[in-house]
Amino acid sequence: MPTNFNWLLDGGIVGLYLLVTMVAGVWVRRYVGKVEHFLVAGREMNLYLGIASLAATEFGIVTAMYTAQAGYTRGFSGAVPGLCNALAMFLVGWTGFCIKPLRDAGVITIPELFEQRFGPFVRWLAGVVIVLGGLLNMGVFLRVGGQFLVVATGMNVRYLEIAMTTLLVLVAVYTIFGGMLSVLVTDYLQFIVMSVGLLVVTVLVLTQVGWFDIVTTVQGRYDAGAFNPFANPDLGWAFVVSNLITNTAAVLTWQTVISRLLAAKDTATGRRIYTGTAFFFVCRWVLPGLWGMAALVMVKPETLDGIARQMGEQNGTLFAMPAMLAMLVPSGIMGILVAAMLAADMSTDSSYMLTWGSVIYNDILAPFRRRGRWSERKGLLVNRFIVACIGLFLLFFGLWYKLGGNLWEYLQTTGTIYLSSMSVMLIACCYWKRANNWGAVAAILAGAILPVTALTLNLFVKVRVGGQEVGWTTATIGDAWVNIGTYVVVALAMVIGSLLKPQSKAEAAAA
Amino acid sequence: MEGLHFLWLGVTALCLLWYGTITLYVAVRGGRDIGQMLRNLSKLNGPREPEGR
Repeated sequence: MPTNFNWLLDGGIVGLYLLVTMVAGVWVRRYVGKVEHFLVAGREMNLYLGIASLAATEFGIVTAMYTAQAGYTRGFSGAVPGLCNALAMFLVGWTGFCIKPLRDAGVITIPELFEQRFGPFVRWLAGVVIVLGGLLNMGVFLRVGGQFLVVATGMNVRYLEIAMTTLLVLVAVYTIFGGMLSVLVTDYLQFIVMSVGLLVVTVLVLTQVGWFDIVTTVQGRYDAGAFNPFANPDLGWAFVVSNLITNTAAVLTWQTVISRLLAAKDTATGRRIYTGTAFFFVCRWVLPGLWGMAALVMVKPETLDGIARQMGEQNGTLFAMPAMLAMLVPSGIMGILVAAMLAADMSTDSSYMLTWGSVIYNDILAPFRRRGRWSERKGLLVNRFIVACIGLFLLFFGLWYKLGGNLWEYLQTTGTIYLSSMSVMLIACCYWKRANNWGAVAAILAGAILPVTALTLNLFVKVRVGGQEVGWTTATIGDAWVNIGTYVVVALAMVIGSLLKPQSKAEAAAA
Repeated sequence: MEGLHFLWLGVTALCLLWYGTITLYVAVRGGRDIGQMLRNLSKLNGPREPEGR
């Protein structure tokens, strides 16, 4: 596919960005003296660095791809998850709901807090569920990022794996050396590059494609459903409610978000990071969503079918946005765009590798660390080894996993594996004195079984809908209802499990 | 439907305005935060050789 990417000019801009990022990321390793520095930057993070880091982490190429896909397939209504996310983040930051007791507890991970209430086994089990859910969710990042680069820059698809591997190795190097400190410093640089790219390209899209043409096209394709989610047959109340619940749970328990709260210098700063970053979550859906809608104006569906075949994927809508950018963005700005997307991707990958690694070290390996005290040096070495192993896992999972259907729904379903149980457990842990380990284990089991069953049925049992093969759960129940149902069942499991456990006299008196 | 067009136009304009402003603000203040964080960590670590030497 033709593109305006100039390997000398645009490649030079990208190369300069990569060089500066690597130098900064590796340079700060000299400040890492303890495990606490590696995992939570010694809890020295202030407000604006926190906002930059949280925004950069929560926006990767994968985010741009699925939000643009939502714009392409649903119009402006596709941005509803962003509005839900922003609302949830602002309210949680403003009220301090759950995050205040969590930060006040001085823990490094959520399972560590659970141990204080539910015991060491629940801590270990929660750690396993968080890592499984998180890594399954993150597994698609690398391939989708590589696919964006192939379509936008016109790079030969044969080099996709090499590009993905190189990108991951670069990220892994500075994350392994500097941990959270490197992540924060590179996040800051990446936030600036990413934001400049997002804003410049959005202005370019609006001036070149035009607001009127975008609105007319999405209205012609989706009618009122393009502007009102309740009038969209694919969305409706269940979709909105599901997104409100999922985004609230993510704000409360998603480890990459929580790690910013826990790395903040105090609770008040952590809460202000939440309120200060909240509106970014509207931007991260609306701006790339607009790119997706511009693709609806510019890119022919048969072009997308060709790209999907070339990539070996079933769904071409994911590639609408990069295909549009390849046609629209001129040389020079293309370099800024690719640097911005790489910045977005690298900040996400580094944070995700570190935070899932922190749960493995802090919670899953907790029983082994108790047997013999580990020195800071050994702790750092183990953490670095874990980050490297996660990088290897991502490389192999990212290479062979082929995604079918809507990317956001996949991410939501895999995320629900732990979001449902962890959010219910966190709320119970903070505010319900009767909650205990029976309820916690029941919640974890219910939260894992339902989404895994739904995902398995979607992958292996197909139903024909409108000439297309769709997963059984999506076709018959709907992803939104599976999500809502999971949270309801998990909450019931928590309550019933806790009430079934006989209370000791001391517990009854305390309750 | 006209009202919804204007609503989304307003949201898009607000996104560009807010994001542009916050990018400039965070670029300046975030740089200071990094300097302060590294100075504090240096004090906590005490005088020592950079790791890896």
